[in-house]
Amino acid sequence: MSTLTRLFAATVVFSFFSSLHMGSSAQTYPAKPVTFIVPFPPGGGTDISARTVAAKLTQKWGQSVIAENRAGAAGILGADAAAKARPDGYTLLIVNVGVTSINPTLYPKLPYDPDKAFAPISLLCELPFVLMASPSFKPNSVKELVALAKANPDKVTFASSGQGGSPHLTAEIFQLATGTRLTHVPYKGGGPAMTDLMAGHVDLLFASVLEGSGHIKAGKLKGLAVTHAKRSPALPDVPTLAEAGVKDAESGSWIALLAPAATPSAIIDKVTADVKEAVSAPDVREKLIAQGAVPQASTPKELQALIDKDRSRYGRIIREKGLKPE
Amino acid sequence: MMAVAGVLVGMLIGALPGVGPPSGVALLLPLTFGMEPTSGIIMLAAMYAGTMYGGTITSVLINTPGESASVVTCLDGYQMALQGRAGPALGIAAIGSFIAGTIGVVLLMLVSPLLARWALSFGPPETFALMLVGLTTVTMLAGEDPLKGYISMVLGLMLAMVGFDIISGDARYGFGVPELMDGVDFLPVAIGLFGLGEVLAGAEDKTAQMKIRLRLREVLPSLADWGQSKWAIARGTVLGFLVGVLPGAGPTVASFLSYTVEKKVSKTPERFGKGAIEGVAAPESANNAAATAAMVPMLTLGIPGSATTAIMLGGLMMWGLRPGPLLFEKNPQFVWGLIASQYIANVMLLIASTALIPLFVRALRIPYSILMPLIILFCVTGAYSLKNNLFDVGQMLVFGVIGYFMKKLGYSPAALVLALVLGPLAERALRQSLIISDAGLGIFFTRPISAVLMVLALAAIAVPLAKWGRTLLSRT
Repeated sequence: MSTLTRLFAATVVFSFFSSLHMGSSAQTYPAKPVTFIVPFPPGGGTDISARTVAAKLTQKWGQSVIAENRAGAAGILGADAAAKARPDGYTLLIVNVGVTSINPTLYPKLPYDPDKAFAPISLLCELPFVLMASPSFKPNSVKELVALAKANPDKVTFASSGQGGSPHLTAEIFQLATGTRLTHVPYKGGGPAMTDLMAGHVDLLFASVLEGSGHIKAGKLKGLAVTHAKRSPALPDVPTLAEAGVKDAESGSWIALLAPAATPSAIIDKVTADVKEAVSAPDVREKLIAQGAVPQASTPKELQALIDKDRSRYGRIIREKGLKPE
Repeated sequence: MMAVAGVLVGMLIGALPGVGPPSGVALLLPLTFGMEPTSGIIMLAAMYAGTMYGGTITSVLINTPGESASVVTCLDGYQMALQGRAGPALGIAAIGSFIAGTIGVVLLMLVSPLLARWALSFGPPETFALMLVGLTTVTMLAGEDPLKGYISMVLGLMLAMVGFDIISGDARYGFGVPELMDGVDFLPVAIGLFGLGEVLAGAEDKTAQMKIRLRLREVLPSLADWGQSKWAIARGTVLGFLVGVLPGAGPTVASFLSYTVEKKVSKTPERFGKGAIEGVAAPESANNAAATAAMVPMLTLGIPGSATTAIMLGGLMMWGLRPGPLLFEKNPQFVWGLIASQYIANVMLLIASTALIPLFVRALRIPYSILMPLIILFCVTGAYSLKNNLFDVGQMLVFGVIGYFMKKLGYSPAALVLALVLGPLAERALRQSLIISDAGLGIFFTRPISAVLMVLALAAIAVPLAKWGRTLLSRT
């Protein structure tokens, strides 16, 4: 063996071991920048929450945590990119309830296997919804709304941010729980739906507390109920659905962090612990609450249970109503 | 300082085709997170203005629109560049944008609340009628043959059907490709049809290569140019502002409508499409006025009026500001800072662009054999950077070939792009209206604004067809 070959062989062996070492050791993780794939456009609720947590982890790890937006197809394109990324802990995926618990039923042919592609890490926050009515809409409470809708089936209209999205499914759950029939008017995104609600072109809208609370406080919209188990600190005067007499209709979205399935469990454990610390840090909490979210970390097990629970719940609605994606 | 940096960075980013204002601002948004809110927002407003103008630069120089609102600018802007008048085209665009921006800011301060009410009166039926009016402008883009214009438009509308049905959720023409689920994205199509199509067609044409290099003396618009453009700018500004207040396709519809209006009122409509300076001045003023007007719903209602303002609103939330009608009352210094920075950005843009136009124009001196591969490179990176997806590059290449044939056969790529942009908006508004009215068509004619727009649209369709029919008859 010539010196050159020997040197080459040594380099190969060395680099192999060193890469092995870098890839699998939880002690040294993260040894380089970590990417959060955000499967939605920048500036939306999911993106902002992801960036808030990413900034905190950057501080803690001394390594950049980059939020990379891979938007399109209701989050499927970004999720697919994460599913096919190298499972070394350096590419993680931000999801909302739609990606993990709605898409698998709504889209029969996903480019990845939703049951096997990902390993859960932790919840980041919950995003409760609020049921709002146009100022020109007569009923001022859920009770009055239900009475009106029962007397006039299919006459009351509700807007949504899009067919098959979690606000739309929340409205479907609401109809099942109250025994009413409303007419769905889908929009592209929450903004246009909100504008038309304000102008009275449609009667009702479920949207996140983040999007709705400003308008309710200003008196431009009527807040009828929040879909969370507890009242929202941003809207202390708006009752919960349960308080308004509607049982088992709690809904809303949440944001969580996943890893590609084969990511080493030592790394997942480390990230889980660090996310928990980041989410409970006062400055992060404050920012998330200001965005209308409820900061909430979890264990991987708890997250998986939440994913499964919402998936069977929304899946039933989708199948019963024969819903198809937008 | 922040404004200067923002305008320059924005212009650089915006000059890449494919990186229009929404993706440009999104790209640069994280840069501002480390700053204190006021400098951050000034920088952001400046970048917005910069990216808008960046799209104009590529439209004029290499016939590649950076965003839907500068598609019309290609029509006459690129023709002017071919005649060696790229400088005046860019100059009048900057002046027009400045004037429109200035008037826009004044209107924003004075009549925002009134305008917000006007925006709210636009429900689905009104939106549909407006989109229909927008679509009828194809007859003005198409040149002599309205039939070819309509064929291009129908092609565009057919492409607009791709993707999930908005109401029933059935997959349409997606062939199981996940990238097609959201429909055909307009930017790769526009970059392909205009930019790449032009390169392909130009590769055959030796004279085009000569023409560009003939006259580069004129760097800035002359007094005569200004005289021709001043009313076009005024009309573009007013129209742009009114349309821009409406949420949705504001700047794009505004630019197409103002081009149509200019061609209608012009004594020499035959000059349009062959390098008429009004054809650059009016739509550029209109899209800038519309961009300013898009702030109205954001500031008064807390609802973003355009994709770009939506991203800026995201920025506001990062700084802990809550969107909503109370934004004005709770954070007045912030809102006024935003308005002021918009204005500063306009001033900076005017200065920066006049200083830099000679440099941009010189880019055309690069030998054709080097410039063309560079344009192809721009087109490819532009299409890729849109969503970091190779699929868009493939789409762009396919439409480049289609654009080549459309150009050869005299079909208008602008009409196709317009239909592709407005098609989904029109379809959604139409079907929302029909759901609300329980399938009655009366809803379009019983509401005053909608009725007026519908009559306008129908007239715009009927009149040219009648004229065309008459010439056909008289020929036989």
